[in-house]
Order: sequence, then structure tokens, then C-alpha cells
Amino acid sequence: MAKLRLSFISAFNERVDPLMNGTIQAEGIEIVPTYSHPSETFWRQLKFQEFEVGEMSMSSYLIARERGFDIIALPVFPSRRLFHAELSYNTDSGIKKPEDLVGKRIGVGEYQQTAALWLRGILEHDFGVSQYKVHWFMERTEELSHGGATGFTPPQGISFQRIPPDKSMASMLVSGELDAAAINSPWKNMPNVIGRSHRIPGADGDWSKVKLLFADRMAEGKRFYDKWGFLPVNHAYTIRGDIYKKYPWVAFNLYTAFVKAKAHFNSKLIDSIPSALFFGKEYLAMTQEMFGNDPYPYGAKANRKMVETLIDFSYEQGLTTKKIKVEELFAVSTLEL
Amino acid sequence: MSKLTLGFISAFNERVEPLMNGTVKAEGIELIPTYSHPAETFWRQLKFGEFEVAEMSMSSFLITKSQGADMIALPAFPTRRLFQTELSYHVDSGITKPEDLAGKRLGVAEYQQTAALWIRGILEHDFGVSQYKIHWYMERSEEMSHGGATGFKPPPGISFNRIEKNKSLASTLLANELDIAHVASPWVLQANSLDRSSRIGGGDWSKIMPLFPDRMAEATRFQKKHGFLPVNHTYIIRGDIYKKYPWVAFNLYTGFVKAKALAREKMLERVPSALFFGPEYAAMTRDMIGEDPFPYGINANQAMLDTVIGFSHEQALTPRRMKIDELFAAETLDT
Repeated sequence: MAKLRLSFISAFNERVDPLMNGTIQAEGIEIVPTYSHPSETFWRQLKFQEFEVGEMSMSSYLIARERGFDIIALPVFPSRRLFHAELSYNTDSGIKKPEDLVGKRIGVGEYQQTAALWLRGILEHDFGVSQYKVHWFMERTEELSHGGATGFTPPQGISFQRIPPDKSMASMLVSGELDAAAINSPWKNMPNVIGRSHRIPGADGDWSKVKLLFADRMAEGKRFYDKWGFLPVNHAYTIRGDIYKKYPWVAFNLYTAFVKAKAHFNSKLIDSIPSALFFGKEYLAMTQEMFGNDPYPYGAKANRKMVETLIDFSYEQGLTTKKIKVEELFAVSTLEL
Repeated sequence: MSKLTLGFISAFNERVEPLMNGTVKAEGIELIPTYSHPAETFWRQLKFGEFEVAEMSMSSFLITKSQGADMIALPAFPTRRLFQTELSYHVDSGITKPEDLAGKRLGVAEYQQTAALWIRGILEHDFGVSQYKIHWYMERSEEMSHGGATGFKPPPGISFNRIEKNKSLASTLLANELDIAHVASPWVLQANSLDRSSRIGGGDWSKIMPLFPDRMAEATRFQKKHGFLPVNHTYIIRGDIYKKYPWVAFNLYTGFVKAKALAREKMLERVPSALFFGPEYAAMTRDMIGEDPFPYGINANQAMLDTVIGFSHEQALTPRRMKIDELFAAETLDT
């Protein structure tokens, strides 16, 4: 009995891990997993396309597709966060609330990354802060960025600057050279070759001056979800075009395996909460009260509004020049799922 | 360079795991880990003494030490729970609050287990329900129980019954042949060779309710009144090993301390992202039960140990109040 062996790159994600560690198998496929920091994954995939299947930035995927990259996505969205609630500000900036960001200097890892796309879109649509009235600072260099691989140039009318190579988002935020920065990603402290905040952490600065823009993340999470009806997605999974053309069955088989892997994790979710929290059950109930029983829906249908919002934001922000259709983004066999 | 190889049995516990999986090493020691359900661990260890180092029930440890067992404990207490909040009642029982338990039939896996010791002590001291006014039902058979290994007899004056062998805690509670039972423990429904609820049970749980519907409020109350969270397990070293290699006690204890420190450092990363608000929830837990709810060492656990020793004696499981310095390795008494 033969199986198709496919190289697979992804960060650790609890909903995907059963597929990567072999607990769940995709029919007809043997996966060779590489666990990787998302910054490195996307850079490698966009620049060298080393892996047949890989996690992919939604924003860079929209850009790459417009530029003719031969890759196709699966509507699998296991990582969701409140990206705008990961913004911190320096108290010397005079910022107290999101509306105060007008005229301020905001640092992001990468201008075109999905986290920054959501940040700009939500500031503009929910808080009236125009992306054109903010000064954007980007940490990653051209060579070591996703934008470098997709030919990024700053959109017209945007105030765009790069953080000097001997500084980082963290070091400039704590020194007051930035007013706010997206430094609370769960990935920021993990060593990788792309970002610099883990290497240049601004450790000698006065961090008591750095505060979360949304002091009550749970209240902001509830507000966002009640208004939009979804939680923002940053990543999907893509199959390289040569593989998809030669083995079109791979898309559906992989998709159903992602679904099974998520279900497997959900059945173990309570047990995976550290006992040190003591009230895992109660906390899970509080989260479900806010976001429903499945905050990570998979499939093109259940995610239509979320994906359309991403497409709109990408277009509005000048990252793409036309709006791609949802039907063109995902493997045809998964569109009805 | 050689190391002492020691057989080590324990349940998975996030604060002990770095020691079991080798991320943290005890100086001079190589552990051969066996992961095991606590019910089986204690039965095997009390009956056969197979392992050189073992997780051990606090209550059974007090009993077996009072009978002269040759083992010594380390003040490492990585499992703490609010056992009284793991009681669930049948809605037809007429129970709505802890004070209603007088005269009722209460099921536990094992009469002498530490969870049952805390339940009796807390019901009596915090809710005024005398252990002598409850009808106790025990599931485990004499052969397959910790009590079987330590010569358990029901204390005088206690209304004690055994659950029939073709029934279980779960099945008798669901049938309302019990009014209330300790079925919400994380272990009791997991398959093992001592407990029967995973094999015999199932059915309609809609009539079964938690005695403390607000566990967070009860935890806050308990912590405020007593200043600690109840411990059920410790770790013991077999006497022959401790005599031959007395250095093992301190080396292992510091290994446990390091493993716990590593678990604390990594705790937030281990919170599933599906909870979304890990840091917020961790802060809520800290507000309720403090910065380190799992203190190790004798000094930080004096009140907890005095209470568990006192309960054991009051409940006639031990004939005298055991002393801390006969329970724990001498090298760890000043920790």
C-alpha cells in the first residue's frame, strides 16, 4: 500500500498537531512535518516554495495570488487572534485610547502581514483612525521579509519607514521612538531569523511606561465578536500548484484530515488545560460564552464573511489592486464545505 | 560517571513532568519513569513496594507509617484540589446545599483515600455535618483497594457499606441508590483496575448536579479560611534505598523544586490558545488563590500538614497524631 509523501511546514498549533504528530492521518498521504516559526515559514514558502504543503499568511497569500503564484489554499483556519488588542503604547506618547493613534508612530513586524492588515482595518472601520493618518514603521528588512518575496512597495499615500537594522519594535517602543507597536504576538520572543525584537528586546528600557492599548482584552474581544461575528484569522494552509495539478485529490483528503485533527484536539481540550489554572472548566465556559462553542470554524462557507473582510481590507489598503473572489482562493473541491 | 537508577511511578502532573521526561535531572540519579493512574500506583506500592520512588496518597501514607511501614516522604505536593467541590448529588435526594448531607448516602471510591479524608474533615469543620451522620458507601473491593493493603477496618461508629461488585459509584448515583458521590474527580471515570465507574455507569447525567455550583466562590472561601489548598499526594522513597543512599532524598527534592519552577515558567505557553484569554484567566486564578498555590517544603505546608494529620486522627484512621519529623526525610525538614 503506497502513500503520497508530502513535506509539510507549520508552526505548532494544537488543532493541527494531531496531523503533524501522526495521531490523525490524511487518507493516502504521509506527512513529513517541519515545525517552524510562522515568519520563517512564509518567507521560505514565498521565496523558495520548498514545501508541498505549508501554513501561509492570508494577507501574503492574497498578494501572491494576484501576482500569479501557483499555490492553492484550503479553508482551514486554526489560528485566530485579536490582533489589534496586541498593540502596546508608550505612556509618554499621550495615547490613552485607540482614537488617539492619529498622527502617531506605530511599529509592526511587517507592513503586509495579516496581523497588520487586521490592525489597520479595525482601527479604520471600528475606531475611525485612517491608515493614512498614522506613521507606519516596519521592522523586517526587505531581504528577510514576506514583502521582499512578493515585491512589496509601500502603498501610495502611506507614511512608511523602516526601523533601523540595529533597533527593533521593542527597543524603539520602550525608548519612545515609537508611540505604539504590535509587540504582544505570542511569537515575538521566539528566536527566528526574520524578526529582531527577541534579539534586541530593549531590556534596559523602562517597561513600566509600556501599556496595552486595550487594557481589558476580554471586553474588546466581546465587542469585536458581537459586531463582526467572527474572530480574525491570520493563516491558512496552501498546496503547491504542481502537486495540486498532479494529485487533485490531495486537497479534499487534507481538508478532512484537518477537520478530524481539530475534532480530536477539541475532545481533549479540557484535559490539556494546565491544572495550575484550577478553573479550566469555568474559564473555557467563559470563552464559549463570548465566542460560541466553535471559535475556529473551518470551511469556505462558514468563513465567507471573514474571508471577504480580508479581501476588502487588502484592497482598501492598496496591497492588492483588485478583489479576488472567494471561489478562486480555495481548492474547488472544498468550496461547498 | 555513573548514576543511581531508580524506578519511579507517578501520574502525569505538569509540575513533575520535567523530571519524568528528563528535561530536569535530579543530581546523581537516573529515573525510569512509569506513568500510572494514582489508584493503581498506591495499590501497587502499598501492596508490593515495586518502585524505589513513588507518588503516594497522603492519607494512606499516614496510615501505613503509623503501622511502621519502611518508607519516607518528600515535601513535594504537586497535586491540590478542592475535593468537596467534586461531590455531585442526585436531584431526587432533596440535597441542595452541603448542610443537607446529614442522613444521606454518600459514595466514595475508597473510605481512606485522601479525597474522602478532606471531604469528611471539611464537611464536619466548615459545614457542621458530622461524619457519623452520613451513610458511607465505598466502591473498591477489599482485594483491590489501598485499604486492603493497609488492613482497613471501618472506624467504630461509622455507618459503612460497600457498593456491590456489579455496580459502581456512577451507576448507583445515577440510579439514586446513592444521594451524592465523589464522581467529579479527574480520575474516577478514567479506566483503571481499581475503580469501576468507567466500566459500569453511563446513562442520563441530567439529574446529577454539583454540590458547589460555583467552584470559584468555594475555592476563594476555602483559601481565605484555611490559607492553603488541600493536598492529596506526596512522593515517597522506599526505606531500603533511603538507608543505603540517604543523599537521594535531598537530591530528588531539589529535582522536584526545579521541575515545578520550569512548569511555572512555561505555564502560560501551555494554556490552549482555544481559551483565548490565558493571561487574563491566570490573573483571575492568582487573585483567588495566590501567586503559588503549590508551595513545596515543610515550612510553607505546616498548616496543611497539621490539618491532614489532625483529620486522619479524628477520623480514627491513625491511632495517634503522626509527627511531621517521622513522615518526611530529615534532610528536608527545614525546607
